[in-house]
Amino acid sequence: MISGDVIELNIAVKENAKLVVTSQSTSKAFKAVSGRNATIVKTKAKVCKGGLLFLVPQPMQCFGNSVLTQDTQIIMEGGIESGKEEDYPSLLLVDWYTGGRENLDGGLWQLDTFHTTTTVSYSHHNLFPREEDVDDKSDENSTASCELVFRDATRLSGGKILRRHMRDYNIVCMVVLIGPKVKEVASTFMKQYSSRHTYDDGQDQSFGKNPSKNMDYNKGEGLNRSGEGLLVSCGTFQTGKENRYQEGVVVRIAAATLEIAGNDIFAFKASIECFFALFSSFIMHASELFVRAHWNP
Amino acid sequence: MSEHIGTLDGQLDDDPFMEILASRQGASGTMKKGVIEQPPLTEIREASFDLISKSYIMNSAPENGIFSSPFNADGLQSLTCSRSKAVKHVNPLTLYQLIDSCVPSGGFAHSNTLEAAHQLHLLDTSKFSWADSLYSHIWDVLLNTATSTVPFLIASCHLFRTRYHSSSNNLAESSNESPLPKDNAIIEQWVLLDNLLRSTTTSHVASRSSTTQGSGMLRAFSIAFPHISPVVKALKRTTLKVHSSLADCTGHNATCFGAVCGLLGIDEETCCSMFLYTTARDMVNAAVRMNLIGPLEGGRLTHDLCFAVEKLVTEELLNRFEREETKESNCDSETEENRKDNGGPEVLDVAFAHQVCPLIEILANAHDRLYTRLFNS
Repeated sequence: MISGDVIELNIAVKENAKLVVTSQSTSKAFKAVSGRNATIVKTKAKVCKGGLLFLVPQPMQCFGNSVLTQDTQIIMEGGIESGKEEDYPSLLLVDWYTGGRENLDGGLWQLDTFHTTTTVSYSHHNLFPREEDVDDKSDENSTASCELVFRDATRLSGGKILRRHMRDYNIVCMVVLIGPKVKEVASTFMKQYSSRHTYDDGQDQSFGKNPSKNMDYNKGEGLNRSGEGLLVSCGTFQTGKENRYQEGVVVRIAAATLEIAGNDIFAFKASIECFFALFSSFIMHASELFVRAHWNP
Repeated sequence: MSEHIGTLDGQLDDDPFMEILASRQGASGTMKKGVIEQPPLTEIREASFDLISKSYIMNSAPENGIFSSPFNADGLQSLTCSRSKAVKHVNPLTLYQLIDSCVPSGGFAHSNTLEAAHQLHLLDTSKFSWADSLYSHIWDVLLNTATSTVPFLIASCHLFRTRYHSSSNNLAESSNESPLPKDNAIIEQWVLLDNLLRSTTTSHVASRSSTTQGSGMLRAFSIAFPHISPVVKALKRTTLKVHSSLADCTGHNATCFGAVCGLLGIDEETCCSMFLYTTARDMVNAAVRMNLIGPLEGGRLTHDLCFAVEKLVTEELLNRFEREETKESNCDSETEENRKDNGGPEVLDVAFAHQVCPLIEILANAHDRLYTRLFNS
């Protein structure tokens, strides 16, 4: 994508329908042209009663000096009133971006501006007559009575300070899971990444000679142990007042550039593949569950 | 032992283990005749605002130049003209009570991602000293706080300072324990603000720490300041139900502190400085208790951070509040209906709340995965 590109995607998942949305390869935002508008990617999706949306695009790549705005709005509509769990709409959303190219553009995280906003709201009747909860004012009609339950906004200003902050990480990923149809995947994530591992199979229980120097008694995957280059955390958030006993799960991942193939313009490819190798097991697991449970006619 | 002594660089001149240190570090070539060569402080500890430099550029509005600086001449002009506005003088003794470390709000139980960053090896001590790597991490957290939660703090403070005080005379006359209906409208708006902050705080650990401190703060200040007690108690009632999910809102740190400051008539700038100061102070204290740095160096770190916070507030944040105020003063002339259409100033402000440091958010949640932990968040 180049300066001035505007991509708008409107998705509606009707009652009890299931939809998988993905992309062929990473979206690339190229260097911005001075005087032109920013690259804008807007995705609006509505998931109706009992529906399931699986929004898993490939990561967004922000090359050096790119100016990109990404806005994802999900509205979960209906299904809460009946009180039956199977009527609740479900969502699995992956939002991820990379720091660009190591060997070009002056290195990673040299983007100019990257704004990404992801909101999930529940559409109710007469909950909030004012639409203050939704930050995008352009679509007032459809968000007028929405209760915002999740809002993740990140605005990156690239450069060496951002690169310093990101340490060796090249990819940042967020996975949002809401609803009964992704409950199994969500609980898998929660089990693995939300709490500490009490004991690690009884092996290697000695903490070394000096425990204060050796912090590796933190057991489990995704704890930035040496050579691992992966940081994973997982937590829950409340999905609103009406369905107050329901919780959504958000998984956040930062993955490192483990290897950089420095031979061509796809210098980032290696890191993406490494990340895929680490991440694909979850996605595959999620997809399998999804297909097994819901794709049978 | 020499490692720990090495972190107390303020004490090195009269350190009994100097010789040990000198011989150890001299062997690795970093020591020159008993003087530890520290990384130059000015270079590393210079507060950089790069992480938020592009935060307030409006990409989606084509009429705003994408590449123009957010701090343009208009902003500065509005800054100078509205700074002359007389803000009611608040006794500094009141401020000292608000940021007193004795306030039992429970801030000392939280490291604000510092413990996770330390245990997950994200504090780089191979190139920098502990103090410098702590400084850069705490500064990242402060910048992230400034863009993500400070808008809510300011909105809450502004709400109570301007709207509550306009009706405070009525309250004093009636001397009623329960707030007046007019105040209920303010409380409803505050609840809205708090709920918005809840959905913006996507980390359950950060949310837990924020709500615990928020309700602790309301409790502490409702007793400490009897003259604002009825309203603070009313806020507390909305947050404290049998189960947090049954409450109208959860009472976050920023919105609660903002409300108390607003009720005491404190201006936004002071409120914001105090909030960022307590955030920095709690993190430095956590670092001292984790034995990453010594208490003396902790003091130095707090001092450096305070300089940076002052710069952050005056140079980067203040003109944004002032712009809000300018907009609001324009709104004052409009009818209430028009104002609703435009959204109140607090809505406009918090709509742009965002993170600038992706790793901080990941670290916040990762805290629950630590095998041993000293802090709650």
